Amino acid sequence: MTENDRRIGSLIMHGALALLAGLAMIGCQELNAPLYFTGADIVATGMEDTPPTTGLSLRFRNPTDKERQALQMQADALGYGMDVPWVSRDKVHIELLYKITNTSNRDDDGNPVEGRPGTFNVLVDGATEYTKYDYQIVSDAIAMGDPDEAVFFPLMQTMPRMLAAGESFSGVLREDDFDEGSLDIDALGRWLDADPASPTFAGVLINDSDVNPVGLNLVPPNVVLPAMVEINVILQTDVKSTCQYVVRVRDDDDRLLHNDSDSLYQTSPTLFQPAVMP
Amino acid sequence: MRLSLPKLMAAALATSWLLLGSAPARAQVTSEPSAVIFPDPAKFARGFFTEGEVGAVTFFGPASDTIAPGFAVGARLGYDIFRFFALQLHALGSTHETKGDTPVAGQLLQTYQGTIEGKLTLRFVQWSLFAEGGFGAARMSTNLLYALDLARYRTGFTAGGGGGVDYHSLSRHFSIGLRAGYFVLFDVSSSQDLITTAYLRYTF
Repeated sequence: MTENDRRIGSLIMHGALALLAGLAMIGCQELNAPLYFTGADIVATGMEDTPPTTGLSLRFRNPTDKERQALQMQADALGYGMDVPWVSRDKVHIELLYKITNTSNRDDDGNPVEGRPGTFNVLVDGATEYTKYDYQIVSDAIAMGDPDEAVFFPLMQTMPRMLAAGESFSGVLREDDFDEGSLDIDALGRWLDADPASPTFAGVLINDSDVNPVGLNLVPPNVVLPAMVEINVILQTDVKSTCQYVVRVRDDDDRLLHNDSDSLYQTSPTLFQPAVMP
Repeated sequence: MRLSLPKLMAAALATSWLLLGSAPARAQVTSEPSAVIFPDPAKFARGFFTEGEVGAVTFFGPASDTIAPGFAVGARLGYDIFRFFALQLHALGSTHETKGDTPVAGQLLQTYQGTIEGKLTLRFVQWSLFAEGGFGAARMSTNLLYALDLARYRTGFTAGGGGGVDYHSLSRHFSIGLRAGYFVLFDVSSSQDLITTAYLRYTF
């Protein structure tokens, strides 16, 4: 064996070992691979007064004693006098993948009938570990104050679209949409300005905080925001339709519950209710 | 021109020292040359070997409806127990995109397969044909197949085999080749995967 052969052999051996190590590392960490949770299909007739909804709750494990201590230390260091969420937006990244089908060209037994085009809009509400937002409750509360005022503020929504009979559309509410939703729901829950003239409520829901941070005046700049732990999907449509959806979660620190030995992290978020103006 | 006798004698005497000064001649003893062996067995290293491979993984069965073929990279580490038989460890990773009309179409999924394999080789000069088979585990990077009702667990048992062709460079250590293997993924609802790769082998 020449010196050159030996060198090439060593190179290949090290390369193979590096490849095996790389594959093993990827196998262990899996590049923060996402997990997928399938929600129950939403079936709409198109004539509902209240749009149909289904939802799902993400299940997280309890933090260990060491992790609790770290959270407490982080809260002390941040110094804004509130807990640091265990399910935080910087560790848990959520996305909604959905598919809407206009099924007006099929009757209830699946037989072909004459269909018609219709519009749809996907709305998303939900809850963090601190606050729950339900647009229907909010809408009802505002209607009590002024029945003529039709207010409709979901936490997140897609753009309304038209679908021909039998046609489908697939879309995504991205991680940055959920980031904005988490900020909005936390602003409403933990950082709501009690001043009735404050624009916090409508301000945070209507505006993109990157463009216009109106209503976020009480939110500390170094706040650790909670991620959503409950996701409710609402299908608003004027025609018979179905919505299939999957929630995609990237869990940086392995906080989702998937080991039998771990216990479930219990959350009891407070339902947000807007102040009713007389 | 005709030389006179005295001149002829003088010329013979003048050149005779050349003949007297030469070494004695001996007969050369030779044996029959041995037959040339091509290629020289010494040019084929045997023993521990490594392989690096690139290629593709294609799914068959129900998984093929939702998982597109993907790029694969892998490695083997093995030992030639005999000239015709080797044991090897194989690790392979591949990346795929989901397809179809489900909400998760377009998502990325990686598969990692690790197997222990036996390999039988039949050599023809620089070329060889081989057959191999083994078993091990396959793991998916995500629970996408669970979301698609194709698998309950992310890690499952796999077994299968295949074969290929190898070309030796006669540089003692190196050979290249093509191989294909068909593996059953027992935990992915009656699905299989076909692994096709090109490889470079180095034998120590």
